[in-house]
Amino acid sequence: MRTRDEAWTALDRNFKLFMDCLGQLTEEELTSAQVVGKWTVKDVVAHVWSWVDEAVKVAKAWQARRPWQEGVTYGDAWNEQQVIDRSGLALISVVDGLTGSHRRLVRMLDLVEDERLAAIDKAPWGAEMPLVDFFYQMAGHYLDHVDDLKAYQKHCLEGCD
Amino acid sequence: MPVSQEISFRRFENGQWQSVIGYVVSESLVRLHVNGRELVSLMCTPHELEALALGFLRSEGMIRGLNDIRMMKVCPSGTCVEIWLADANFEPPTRRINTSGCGGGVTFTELTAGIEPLTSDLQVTPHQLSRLLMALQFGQRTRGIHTAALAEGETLLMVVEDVGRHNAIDKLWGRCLQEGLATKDRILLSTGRLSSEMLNKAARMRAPVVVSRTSPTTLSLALAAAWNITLVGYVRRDSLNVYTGGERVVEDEEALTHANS
Repeated sequence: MRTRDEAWTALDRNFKLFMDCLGQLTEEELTSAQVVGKWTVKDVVAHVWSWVDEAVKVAKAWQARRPWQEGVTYGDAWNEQQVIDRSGLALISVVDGLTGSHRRLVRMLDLVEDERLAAIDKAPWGAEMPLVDFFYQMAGHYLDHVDDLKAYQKHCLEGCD
Repeated sequence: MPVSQEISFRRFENGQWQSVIGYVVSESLVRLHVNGRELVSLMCTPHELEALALGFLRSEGMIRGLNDIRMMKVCPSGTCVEIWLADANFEPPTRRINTSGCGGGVTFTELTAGIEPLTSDLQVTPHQLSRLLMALQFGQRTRGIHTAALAEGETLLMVVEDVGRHNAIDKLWGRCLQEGLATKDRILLSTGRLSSEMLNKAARMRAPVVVSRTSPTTLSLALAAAWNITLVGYVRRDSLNVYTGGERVVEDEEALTHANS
């Protein structure tokens, strides 16, 4: 089982790494070019935001009933719908949305009692784990997308065409 | 981002137009987030933002030193400062009082709460204060910006600039925290008007002599008297006004020579 500090540090470090990938890109580069499948950078941010939002809800309801999850499969269709739901938002709103949700998640990690951090329940993808490990794995989700974005950022800085 | 930015404009002088290259002060909205929640938005000069954040938190009594900070970073866009305190249970206050500060000063504390009168035996002279303020203004690259400084003797120990006079004092205190420079028993100088909130910050810094090139307010005079702070305003090359704590301002040989000549 991870410690609270490990989860906190991972969330902080990985979020920064993710956000650093957005730097030095123009709004057009962030919203037009497809970087992962048909997703733009903005879509990737929206996707990560949707998972951080979900993580906040899940952490709140850890070891309790989660009615919004009933009948939901967290697969490609769910991911796609989350991105579509946020597609009407401006880039800055999506980035702000992710930042706000990230802060809520970190704040929740700060305040949750030790006993509750060790409590075991299921993550949305079905794996059982202590709550603190759920926080840690959510930090890992940022990294899942860092490589794609870094490659695109490098490509753009070398001269997008 | 720099304190000021170079621009070109036209100036009309003595009946003629001319093209001029000059500087204007940088200003932008910066949000401070503490423990995941927005604490305040400041209109400020987006330079030395960590110092501004530190000084703001210190002057509001939310921290006592760098050890109270778990993590602090300025976001890449330079529009927010993220601060996580060592005290994870700290809840940022939501009550905000907008003040008269043209830089958007705010304070959460009652003005006179928890501050003991200053007992410092520091003494200064009129010409010393005049020279310090002249040196302070001499360093300004552009007009329209507030400068604050901490001084000892004839030396400016620390100088900062910001579009807001409150921000300048907060930034000064933040820089002092960063550099491990004590503010107690030192001279605080400001180019801005000394309102009650400015006096509050000075008192918390334990600076017994507060000097401005402009005016105090009625409330700041009352607070200065209550806290035994020497308040000096309208400092020019050969003149200044001492409003409170006059016993700390002693005549120097220069003044006596000038008076007798």
